[in-house]
Amino acid sequence: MLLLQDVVSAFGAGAVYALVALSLVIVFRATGVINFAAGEIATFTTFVAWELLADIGLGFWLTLAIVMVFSAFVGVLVYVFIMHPALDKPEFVIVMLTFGLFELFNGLSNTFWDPSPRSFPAPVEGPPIVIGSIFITQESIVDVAIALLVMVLLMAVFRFTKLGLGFRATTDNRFAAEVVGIRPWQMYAAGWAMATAMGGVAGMMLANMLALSASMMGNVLVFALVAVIIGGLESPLGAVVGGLLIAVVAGVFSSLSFIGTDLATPLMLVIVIIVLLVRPSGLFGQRKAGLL
Amino acid sequence: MSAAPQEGGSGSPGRPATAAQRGSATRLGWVPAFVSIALTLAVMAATGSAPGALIAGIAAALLASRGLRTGPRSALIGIVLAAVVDAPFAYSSFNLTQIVVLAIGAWGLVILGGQTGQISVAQGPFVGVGAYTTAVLSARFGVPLLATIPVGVVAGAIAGLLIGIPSSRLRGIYQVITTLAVAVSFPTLLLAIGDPVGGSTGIAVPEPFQTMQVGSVDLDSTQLMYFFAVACALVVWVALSRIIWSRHGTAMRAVRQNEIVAAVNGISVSHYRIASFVLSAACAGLAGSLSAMSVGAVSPDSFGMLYSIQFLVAVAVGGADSLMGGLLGAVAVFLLTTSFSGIPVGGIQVSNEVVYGLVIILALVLLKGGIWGALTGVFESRWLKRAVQMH
Repeated sequence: MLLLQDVVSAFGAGAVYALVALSLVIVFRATGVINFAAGEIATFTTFVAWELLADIGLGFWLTLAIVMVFSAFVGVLVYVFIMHPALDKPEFVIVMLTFGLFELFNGLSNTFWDPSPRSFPAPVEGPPIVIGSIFITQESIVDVAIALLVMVLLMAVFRFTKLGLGFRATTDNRFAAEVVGIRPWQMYAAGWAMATAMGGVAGMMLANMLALSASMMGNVLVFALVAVIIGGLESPLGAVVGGLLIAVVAGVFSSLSFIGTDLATPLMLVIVIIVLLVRPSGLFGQRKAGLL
Repeated sequence: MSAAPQEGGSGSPGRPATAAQRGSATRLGWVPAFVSIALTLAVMAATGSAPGALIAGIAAALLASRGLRTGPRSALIGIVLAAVVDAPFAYSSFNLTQIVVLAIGAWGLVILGGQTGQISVAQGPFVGVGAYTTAVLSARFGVPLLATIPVGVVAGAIAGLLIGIPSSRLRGIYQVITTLAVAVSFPTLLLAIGDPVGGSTGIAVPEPFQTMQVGSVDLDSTQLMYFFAVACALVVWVALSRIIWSRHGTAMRAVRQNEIVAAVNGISVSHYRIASFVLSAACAGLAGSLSAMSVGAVSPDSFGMLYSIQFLVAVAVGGADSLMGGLLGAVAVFLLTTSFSGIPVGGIQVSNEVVYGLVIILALVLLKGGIWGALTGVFESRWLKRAVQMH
């Protein structure tokens, strides 16, 4: 029963991992870049959210909407001014650019807000729901619901709107898309905007779970990367499933006495290496990945 | 060291040199350097004036190389060594040692990235393996510090082999993610091991050297540590540049440029990819041992992802395909991360991380081949090119 409790508790964190993983997949599908700065950009926008909530006193849902728009704007800026000019450079340069962005946004968070952790308001308040011997907090239900809603919304945009069609066309065949009048850079910028908006949501949810601090996203990014590797770098569905799976596995690992919290992260590493060597395209991927 | 001047001639293809030129350089090439070091130290010991010693050293290097006709390369080596020897009398030798440590670790990435075209975010953990080897052996088992260094190098190399075998099979972004996972897990792994490696507090390392009196100058422990680190760095430089300009270096660059063509030409791609991983991690192990000795303590949090990124930034900003680039990058990274604690802009103290991030981005966007690539490109000077004999 204790194990079941761990699994249920893990779903809140799983929703965050899934969101961040999904944002990584969207950026990767669009521009072939793994955005290692995704977590730090999200942390920065979450500090902005805290400012709106605590200083200006806006409501939670209004703040969420504003932060999504603001994050999307940041994403477009980053793409247009930094990533777009570098897309045809060697992979090493692109990876290092995202590490540069990592330092830049981490520095911005540290510049404007002091580093001590601060508590972040929850979307809903209330006593936990008890089913049998299992406790479920209301926040975690809302967190999972928000994550699911954002994902469904995103899938809908991809499948049913003209923007989504253009995006899919561009990632499928860039030149064919250009021939029919789609501007690839607009699609790529839209991809970055969607990804950073999702990161903004994930940041607000995570800040409520842990506490808002400049380093809160460090482990989340790694878990999201593990999720993406398990699910397949190209697959949005894989990212979501991988995110939930990794949270459950991490939760169970941490609660097993012979593993403990300290060994949970190294075990993730072992999982990543095994997945990459055995099935490099991940559980849901189709394309052959980097293994020669 | 006397073999180093050959490396431009015999090792690098397509750059023929007449026997007479080579002959004179081989015989006398290092004389200006020795004269310059000797004079710098002598003036320093006699007068105690650091600028005076530097001027004397530079003058000696220039005059000796001119008198002996040993060429610009040998003069440049003399000047650089005079500055290196003189530096701890003008600046904090602790800081200079940290730069040397960063440079040795970055040279590992020059081999890994610049030669075989791999990207590793695991350099920090490999440095950590070397540092912890030195710390555990000296503090727990009483092994003399200097004797722990070879063990640290071997331990780093073994760690590199263990990580390199799986991750050298992966390409590009997949390799980055795997090695990043190593970097993130390393500190927690140390915590999980717990007491034998000091847990979250780490281990204190004894002082490596005693104060020494030379002429009128007292050399304290940190200055001696600096000279020792520089000696290690020189050995690494000579060894690595011989490898780079040997046929193995050519093979590694072939692997970077086109694996299929390299394989067709009889180069074992996977062997070279793994070997460069091991070599790179061995450099990291040495850097780690030196770091533990000079800092006097090791703790798990110092060897994580951000530390790994420092080495990557060093080669990205300095120039990934030459040892000189790694050295310049190490200086740049050290100055950026430690020399100031923020810049005031309009009443707000802007964190130095912002500057660090901006410099990384600007260097990558504006400079092709990093600082060293830009220097060699801008000056386009035959003197500098001939002096360093590198691209």
